[in-house]
Amino acid sequence: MKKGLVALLIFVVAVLLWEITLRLGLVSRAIVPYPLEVLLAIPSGILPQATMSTFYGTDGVFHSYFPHVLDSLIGDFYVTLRRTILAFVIVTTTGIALGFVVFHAKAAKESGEFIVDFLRSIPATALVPLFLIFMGVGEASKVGVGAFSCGLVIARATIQGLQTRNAVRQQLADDLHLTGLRRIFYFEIPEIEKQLYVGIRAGVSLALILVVVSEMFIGSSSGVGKAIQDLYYTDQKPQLYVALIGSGVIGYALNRLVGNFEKRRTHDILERK
Amino acid sequence: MGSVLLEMGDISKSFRRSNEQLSVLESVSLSVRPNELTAIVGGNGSGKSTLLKIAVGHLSTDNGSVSHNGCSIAYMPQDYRSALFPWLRLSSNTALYLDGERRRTGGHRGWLDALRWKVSLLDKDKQCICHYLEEFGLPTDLSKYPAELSGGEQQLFLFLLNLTRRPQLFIADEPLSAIDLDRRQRALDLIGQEFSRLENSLLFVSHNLEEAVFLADRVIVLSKQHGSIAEEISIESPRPRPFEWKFSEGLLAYVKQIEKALRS
Repeated sequence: MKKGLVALLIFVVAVLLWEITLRLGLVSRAIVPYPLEVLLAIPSGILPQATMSTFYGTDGVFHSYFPHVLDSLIGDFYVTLRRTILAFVIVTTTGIALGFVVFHAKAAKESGEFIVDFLRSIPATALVPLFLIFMGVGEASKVGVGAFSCGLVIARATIQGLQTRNAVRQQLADDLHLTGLRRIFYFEIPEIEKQLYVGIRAGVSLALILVVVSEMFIGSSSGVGKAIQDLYYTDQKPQLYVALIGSGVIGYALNRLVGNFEKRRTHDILERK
Repeated sequence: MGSVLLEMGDISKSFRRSNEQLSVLESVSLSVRPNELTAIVGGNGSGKSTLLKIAVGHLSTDNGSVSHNGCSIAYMPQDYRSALFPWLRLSSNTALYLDGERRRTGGHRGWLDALRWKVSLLDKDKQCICHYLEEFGLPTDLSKYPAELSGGEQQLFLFLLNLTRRPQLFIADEPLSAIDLDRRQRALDLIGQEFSRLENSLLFVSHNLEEAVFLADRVIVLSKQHGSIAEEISIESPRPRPFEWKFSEGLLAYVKQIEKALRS
């Protein structure tokens, strides 16, 4: 409760500072709109402009509201969120699997680790044109860009976790002849759980960034990235800020979701330890 | 199987610590026969735990040879808290321990077996471990997690779990160090009875000299200075030994002899 009040207070102070900065002319009105303008732009910016004819058309027959939602900014948020979650789900499983394969494949271990580290070091945004060439302008390239870099982050976290396993438990797993899936489910995944969450949290943020960037650069017809560019070019500043704040809310919500799950799981484990 | 369960010949081991080579064991030879209880005592850093880790195969040697002659071995490390999987319930921990023993002896191998992931606790195993737990007044509710037990209870649980495996050779590093006085005496009695009945062997490290003499057929004293065996003392008293023997002149004489060997 107290924490919530402090957060609210900080938010109010930030908005006040925003207002004061503009009133004093420290920042140009051409760059930043007033907070109230942004607030008033939320309904018109986010929601579709619905009238009775939106639902019933001119012929009086009911039409779905959904296509109109998709045309609005809230539709763009939905598309970006869907792409981010899809990229995230694909890479969480494949990234962990890749980490396990690279770590356990004795012959490929050193070269595999090098390749993962090297690819991870390439600035993720620089891969956008490459994905455009390989996968075209469709949905796959947007999800693919997010998935690729995010997967490498999770794979690296998996390898790091496996490298720092508790030595006594590792010997114990050998003594108990824990092999195959038993070893993975009963020992290795729970053992590296904390490191995995570090990778997953970093991965989900990176996936959102890359999906938005790819929406900006890879011929998109929807998504927050596309909306931000459109709003920028048509000089709709209040709506642009609504889109920016909205994408921040998506990123924050995804991070909180993973964070809360992690907190609950690691808290459980710590209590059990 | 031959007449020796564990044969360690001319073992040397050193560790590298900040640019200097620290010799821990030098030319140590040791063998354990069936139905033999052997205690290893020595000061801190004398190489007791290192010797056990080499015996069980967790550490390699610089020199010398180790052979187990195919006998089944259970190992209880000094760090007993790490020897139970904290994220698994006691029932799953028990199932993994006993399943491991069966997999070692049985034919559960091959690539198809690697895809099997479920491990369940058999009724007879549950009865066996619960029988021991009841004897020591430990909770028999195996749905608990290890952290729900106290440190001493965790050590005792691990000790009983290894006992349930019925290994031909049980190697234990300070197995009773965290257990309270009452339960420790009961554990000593149980070890005496069970190992005599099953004719299995025990190789253990202890800092408690009375405990070592009470349990063992022979006590090996490791010298810290030389990293070698300073003295090997045979305890000439039939097993299982009665509780009163713990306070006898005979036991005290052995303790004094060990203390003397440790000081020299």
